[in-house]
Amino acid sequence: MSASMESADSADPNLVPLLDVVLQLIMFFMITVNFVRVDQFDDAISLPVAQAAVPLDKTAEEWIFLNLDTNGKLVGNLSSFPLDTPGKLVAHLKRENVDLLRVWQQKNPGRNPDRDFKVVVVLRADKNCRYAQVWEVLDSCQRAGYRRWQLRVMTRSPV
Amino acid sequence: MARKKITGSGGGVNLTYIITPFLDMSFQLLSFFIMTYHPSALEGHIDGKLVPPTDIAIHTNKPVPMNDLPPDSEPDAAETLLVQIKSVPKGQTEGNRHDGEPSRILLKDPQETRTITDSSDGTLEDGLKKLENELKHRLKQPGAIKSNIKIEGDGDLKHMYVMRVYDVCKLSGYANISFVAPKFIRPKTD
Repeated sequence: MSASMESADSADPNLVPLLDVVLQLIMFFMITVNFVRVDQFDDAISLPVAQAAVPLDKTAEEWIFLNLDTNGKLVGNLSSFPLDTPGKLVAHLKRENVDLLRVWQQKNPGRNPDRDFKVVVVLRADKNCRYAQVWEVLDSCQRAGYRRWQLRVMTRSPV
Repeated sequence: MARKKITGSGGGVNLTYIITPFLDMSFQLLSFFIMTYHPSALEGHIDGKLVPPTDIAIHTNKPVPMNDLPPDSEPDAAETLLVQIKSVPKGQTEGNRHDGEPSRILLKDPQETRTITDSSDGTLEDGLKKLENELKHRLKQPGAIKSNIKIEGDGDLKHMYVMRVYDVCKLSGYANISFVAPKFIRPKTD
């Protein structure tokens, strides 16, 4: 787009280049936008850095996100399940597993859940929480019947 | 789109687009996308597998696949190095090390039942460097095999230090690294 000012006494600023840049920026952000639920990514959690971690993969069918804050408490929609009473958390995770499987079976009627249904527990633990707290969550997941988990980390320090 | 009539100096009429509302809307969209932008590309993951406690008890004597190490099982002891991280207990300090920081990093070879590296002296960086050197040295020896590594941390240890030790092990060339639960939370196998 371009606009030329033929009138010599016109003082209007030419906004067209500005508009071009703004539209390009909008395109960039639209392409890279990542709409996620608040309970999946909690900005209050500062992940530890591990350069050897691998990039995120999205091969699983279902995901369960668990966010563990700096005090070792679950945040988001699981904040009502304290780790000192793991029985409640295990029961909740079991229910969630059953619900996910039921929805998956409705969507995939002919497929074998034992082979094809992959649910992954994603644990986003704050760098300052304790190793025992991380394991309390993993232990609950294990008892609830989950078999695969991912520990989320930053591949380099955030600027 | 609306057009504005401008009378030119020659008496004619120029028709130009009114782009100000368009620009306003563009800025609003731009603000929205900037505010909701989430640079998730920095995030990576470490995969793990959980094995049912009953399976651990039943299959103790069966060999475990090298790339399928469950955290609470006992893989082939002859090929597994143990990295133990002792931490400063909660609410205490040891010298210039604070609550939750590693106080000692031990590298143990179960076959030889001895401690290979002990980083109780020096700083954390010294300890990690010592561990890295020892791990790399073991790989360079003639006939060396790539062992599995188990990382066992104290319960009070901060999560970030476990990840730092994991990083050192991985970057030293070891592929199969598993985590061991702190002793007090280990599920009963009886």
